[in-house]
Amino acid sequence: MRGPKAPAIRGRGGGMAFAHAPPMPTTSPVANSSAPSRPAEEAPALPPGGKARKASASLAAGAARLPLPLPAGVAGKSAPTLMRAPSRPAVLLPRLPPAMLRGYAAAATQAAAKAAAKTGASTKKSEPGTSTRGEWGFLNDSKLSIEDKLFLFMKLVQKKNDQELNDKMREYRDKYVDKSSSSSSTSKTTDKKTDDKGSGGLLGVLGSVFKSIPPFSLLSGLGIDLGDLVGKLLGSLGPQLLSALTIPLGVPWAAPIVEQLASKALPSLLEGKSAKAASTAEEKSSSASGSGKAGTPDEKLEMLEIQRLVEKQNQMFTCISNVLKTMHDTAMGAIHNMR
Amino acid sequence: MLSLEEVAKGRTIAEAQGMTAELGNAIARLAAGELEAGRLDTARAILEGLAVTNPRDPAAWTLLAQLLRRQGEVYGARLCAEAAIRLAPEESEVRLARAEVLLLIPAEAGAARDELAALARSAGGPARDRARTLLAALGP
Repeated sequence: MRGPKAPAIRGRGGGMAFAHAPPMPTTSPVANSSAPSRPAEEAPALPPGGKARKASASLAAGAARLPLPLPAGVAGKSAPTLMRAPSRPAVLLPRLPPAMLRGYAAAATQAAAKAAAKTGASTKKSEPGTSTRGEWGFLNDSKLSIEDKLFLFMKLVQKKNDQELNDKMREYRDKYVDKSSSSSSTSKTTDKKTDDKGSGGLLGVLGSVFKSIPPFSLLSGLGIDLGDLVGKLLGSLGPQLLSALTIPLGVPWAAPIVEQLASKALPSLLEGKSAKAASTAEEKSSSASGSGKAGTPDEKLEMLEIQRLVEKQNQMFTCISNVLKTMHDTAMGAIHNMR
Repeated sequence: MLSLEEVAKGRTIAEAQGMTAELGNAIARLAAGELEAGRLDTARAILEGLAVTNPRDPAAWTLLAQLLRRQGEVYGARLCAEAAIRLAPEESEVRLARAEVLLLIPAEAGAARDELAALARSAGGPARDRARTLLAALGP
């Protein structure tokens, strides 16, 4: 038990005496010291009625000692006993030892040991990094100033980003633009199908992402609209928590996608716009511009990826600009001081 | 800084920030205290932070499931409980939290009852006690 209230919880449960529970001493010192036990006689008066009366009496006696307020299904059965539930319900925590918990950083001692073990290998490995040859060799060139290095770094990263963006756009064109132009000329029925797939807007896309996750795939099999369900969950949990949920559910790859889509879908959800209206507006605008329909979930994901790459470039520019500005200001400060 | 690619590979913010399991436990205990005291908003803020920082910690999801259940958000509670059970399927507290959430869903009441019965038979400690109490309250 990790919770601080562990002894108190045991104490509360110590006085129970139900038909299928092992008899436990109600006068146990633990029970008396931590929390006062509630005797069955204190249960509220119940209406007379043979067996039913006995059953409700035992129910009342049991529920009077409940450490938690009863869930809705139970609450209906024993409304008077609910009032007798403790005002400060106990909370149970899983008792996993720290060593078994995943996803946390290693403790300081373990980290130090790991680092010490790695040093031998890393010193050997770091040798090639000191050479001035290769694509990133300029970083080790002692003749270059930091401004030059920054400039070269920016140039190289920009080149790589441009290449990546180009590839992505070409991929998009090959996948969707060519297909859509050919399909629109051949038949209108295919277009209608794509429209149907795209209905539901971002929540629909999110729903289709969640469709691949086992508990949700079962729901979709039952005919439940995943877009609506995801909308409800998004309103209740928020984008970050929803994306974090994908990791324990076994689909970590979906985390960034879910977060991006959820962050985009949340404002419209909060504004109270229906997902369908949003999607139709989006499709109208895209058809008006004549740039082809970004209807299918995959297509939207591709577009988002392109958008992410552009944002990445902007971020890099801002970062470099800030660094250069700070360096310039520092140098100017030193010059002013000399004057 | 944690990139989206690293998140997709399953790396957590806790790992990136050097947050240890002991610290995670302490935060979970703090949240449990708030939850027990009835300060649900504070508990929710802490737990959401903990769950985002390390989505692999079952304690965060278990407590979130309990919290959302109390706030009447059944779908959210169910999802958090499912996440927790996937991380620690054998933990009696996690199973109990999930069973309590399932009790709220009429279609899942049978599964909840079965889980509670299994807990009452096999598990030990407060989880078994609470499972027995709930079973008794539910009646035959």
